[in-house]
Amino acid sequence: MRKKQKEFLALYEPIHLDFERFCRARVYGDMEFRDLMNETLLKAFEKFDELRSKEAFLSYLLSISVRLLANNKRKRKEESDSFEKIVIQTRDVNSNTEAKAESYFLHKALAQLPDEQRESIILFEISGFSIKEIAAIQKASESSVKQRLRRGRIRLRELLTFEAISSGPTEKTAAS
Amino acid sequence: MNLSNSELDQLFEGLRKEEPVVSYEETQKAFLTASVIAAGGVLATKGILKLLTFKKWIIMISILSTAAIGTLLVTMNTPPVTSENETEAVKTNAKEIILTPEEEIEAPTVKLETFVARLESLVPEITTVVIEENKAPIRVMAYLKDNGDYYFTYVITSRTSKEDLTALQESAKKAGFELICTPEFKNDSLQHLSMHIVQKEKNGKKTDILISDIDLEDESEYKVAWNVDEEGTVTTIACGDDFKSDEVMDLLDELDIAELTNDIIRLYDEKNFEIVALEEGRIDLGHYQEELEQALAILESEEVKASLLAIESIDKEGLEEMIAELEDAREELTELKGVAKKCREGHEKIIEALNEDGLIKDKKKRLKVKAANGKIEVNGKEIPKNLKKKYAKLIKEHFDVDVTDSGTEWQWSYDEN
Repeated sequence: MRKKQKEFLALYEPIHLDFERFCRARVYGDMEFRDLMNETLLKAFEKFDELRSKEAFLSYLLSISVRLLANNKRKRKEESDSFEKIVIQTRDVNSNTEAKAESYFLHKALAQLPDEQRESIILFEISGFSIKEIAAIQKASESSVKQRLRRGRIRLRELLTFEAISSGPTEKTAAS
Repeated sequence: MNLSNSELDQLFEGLRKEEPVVSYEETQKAFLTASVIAAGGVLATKGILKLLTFKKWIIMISILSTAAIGTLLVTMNTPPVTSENETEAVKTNAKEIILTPEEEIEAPTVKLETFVARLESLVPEITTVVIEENKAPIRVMAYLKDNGDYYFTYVITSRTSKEDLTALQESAKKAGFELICTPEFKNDSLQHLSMHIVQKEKNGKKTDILISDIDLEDESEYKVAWNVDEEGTVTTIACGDDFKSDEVMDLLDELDIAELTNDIIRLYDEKNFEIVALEEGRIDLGHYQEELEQALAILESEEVKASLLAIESIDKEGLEEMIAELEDAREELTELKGVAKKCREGHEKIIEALNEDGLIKDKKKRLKVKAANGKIEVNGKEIPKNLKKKYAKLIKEHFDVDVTDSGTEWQWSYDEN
């Protein structure tokens, strides 16, 4: 392993858990989260020399993930404009990894939020970033982030209530 | 009644405490593998829906692994220079770039089509390029053999100047190949260097091939070397750090072929829908034909075949598995090539016909053909009824879709850019 790779992985190891959780929650039901992780790490490694603060490595990775997803979304939109009849059906590749009903329903509900809202919620509630930091990652204003968090939480509460009711008493207990 | 805020907080709390699904070790391994493969320009930052990644992945893994072992064998067993005189000549001709204060020189501005065949120093990789048409192809490989059996060897460090690089380019020119250097200096210190060679294809097209893209750390040395024939024309080009067999063996240990095969199977399952879409002709394959042909050419190349033979003596079981994978990949690529060819021909014929019939004004402009409810539309306008039969026939012939059936919905887009 080369010096640069070692240095990169040394920074990555302590934040692996946070990064993995973010990726898993962010693309749940859309794509394989491992692909996002790997793609982000490769991109981050490529631009590693541009990293200004090693303490901000997690934000650095998350910013790259957010940008990659936005680019992919744009590309997918362009492709779907050209090929309206091509329906790409992705499997829910993460579903078998979720043993807990609570985690399953929360991930499922998060997946139904608009992208920016979902991202803000995950970064705030799961990754523990401040509104200011999220605004920097998402390149948005703090008030937009606040609004996304507020609306996202309201929508999640609705979705999770519906999920719990429609899935029977076991899940209702789990969600409450 | 909706879920309360505190109940939602509890759910998030649970998520924050959740164990990871993928361990750090798995991620590290995936990253290292992918960064090796990305060196061949394969996996790096492709879009989610990018086609053929899976195919290329199989090919690149196989090539990287075989090339690595193949190079090891060559290095350990067969010194290429045989006579003492020649060895002496090698030593006396070896040159080291000496540091001199430099003047500004202009970086080459030739803009060519770029093909990345980066000889990254992590894993030896071999590629063959045609420097000039009708001449024997040149083998370009990563790593120098540590015995230094090269007629010309140039050592590049952070202290290398622009004049040194110019001298290197002049020397390359004398050996019959064009070496393009794109250096980045900071405070007179060479920080980064990209080196390209130019391949001339049969149709006269020039391709700019990236052979090295290196960051020079303080004490690091990078070498560029080549051998020439009796007429002084280049026969083999090598570049990289000194060959370190241990490093390669470590890397091969890290590349667990069995596990990678499992990953490939998993990927295959996930990507299967793309392949189905591809086979059904729902996706424009025109743009990918060139890639397919390149991939096939790599598979057919003598280097790959030779490497496969070399690896046989080391790991028969692993080799059989790898050959089977390569064969499968090759068969599928051949099939896909057929589909791609058919689609491309169809594209060309339909565009030509549309142009002749005055339904499009510019053959290069973005085009959208749609068939639904028994109607055929070109760029949103229904085509005249007297031409409908003609285009229905063309679509049937090349895409195997019967658009005269009112239940059929079919769409095709074309954009030369």
